[in-house]
Amino acid sequence: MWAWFHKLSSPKYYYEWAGKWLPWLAGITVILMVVGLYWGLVVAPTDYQQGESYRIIYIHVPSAWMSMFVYVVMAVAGFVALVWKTKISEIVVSECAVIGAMFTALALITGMLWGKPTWGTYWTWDARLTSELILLFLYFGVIALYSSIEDKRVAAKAASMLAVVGVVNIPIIHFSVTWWNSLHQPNMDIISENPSMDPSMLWPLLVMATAFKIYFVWLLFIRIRNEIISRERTTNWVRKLIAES
Amino acid sequence: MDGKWMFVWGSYGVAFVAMVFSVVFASRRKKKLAREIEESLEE
Amino acid sequence: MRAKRKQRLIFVTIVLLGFSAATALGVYAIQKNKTYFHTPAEFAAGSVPQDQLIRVGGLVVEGSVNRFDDGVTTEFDLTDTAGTVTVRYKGLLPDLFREGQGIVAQGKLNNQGTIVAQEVLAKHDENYMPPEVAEALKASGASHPENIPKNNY
Repeated sequence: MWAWFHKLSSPKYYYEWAGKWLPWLAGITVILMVVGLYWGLVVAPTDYQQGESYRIIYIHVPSAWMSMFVYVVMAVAGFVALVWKTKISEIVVSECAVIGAMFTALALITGMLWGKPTWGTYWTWDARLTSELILLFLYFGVIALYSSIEDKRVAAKAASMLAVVGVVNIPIIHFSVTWWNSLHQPNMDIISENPSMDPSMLWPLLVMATAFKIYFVWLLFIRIRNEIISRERTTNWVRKLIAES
Repeated sequence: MDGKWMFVWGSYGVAFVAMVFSVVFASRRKKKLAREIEESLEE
Repeated sequence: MRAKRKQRLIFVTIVLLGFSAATALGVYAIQKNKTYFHTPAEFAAGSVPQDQLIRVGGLVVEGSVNRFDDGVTTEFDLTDTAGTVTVRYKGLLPDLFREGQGIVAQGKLNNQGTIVAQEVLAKHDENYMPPEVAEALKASGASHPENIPKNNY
């Protein structure tokens, strides 16, 4: 197990290993997305209270879940980068920051488009909305730190520190709707016998959430491979790889 | 059609553009990088 | 090279300053809005200040909605079962506004104990179901999920 992790931390091995996964990840993402979208937009019934606008949940909730999930991945990679200083973990931090920022922005935008027809406003300074906005700033901070320092090893160290420290925001986002009075609805209960969503509506949500997760891995692998080539451009194996293709 | 569909299509549209564009952008960067390295090899 | 490094240092400093400012603002906003809304019980206890912009959240009391003759003003009572407070609002109500619905109104408490609202937002819960299921639930005697008072109203 550890030997395998060790092997994976070699840029060359990782590049080849991730490359093998790409077509599978692409295929699964597309299939799950098509199924999830059709199920959520066409098959799933209308909500008794919100009508059609509740369908934004199938894009909003997966984005919001991913915005937090990606942050945790980034923070763990940041911790590994600070302790073991492996190149791959440094790259994971910088690439997760970009993807996570996209998911956070999507969660905020789709949330605004959902808020208008249901609450009656695009934005309000509710604890959930505010803490999610702080998450976006955290991602921007990590991206800015990484891209503004020229020496990538130093840049990764600074970015990793911010990523690790910022992880305190994650429980704040999750529990904001429980700890404080908020306009945002409480967290859904999806694991008990009586989920807060009818099964006919819950299934497409789970499909979309899985699709988003696989999409994230797919995009992350593409981006990590790019960054490996960019960083290792002077090494023999990259030169050989480019010359052969 | 319910006026609320406007918001639904809007949110799906934004997400679709962002997610597809991210993959396209990443794939194009790969080609650009390969070209850059190739040029440096020829020199 | 030195000039470039200096430029970079200035850039990083600006980014970090901007980032800190944004986070500080966010934390301040959460602090300030931690009590995003007050409950009707707090009004009954008199612990809510007058003439200050505040929010109140609760369920619209059945049969309390009173539309004025001018066509734009509405008065209704909000309750959290422990207290009731009257809200007056001039303007368009959100689609989800109905009796039994969770509502958050922002406005000022006047000296008659009525809240003169500037904004009325509909709060919805985390329950989603098709209309048939909602009807069946109602028929089986269980109240509408939106009518079950939640502890955070």
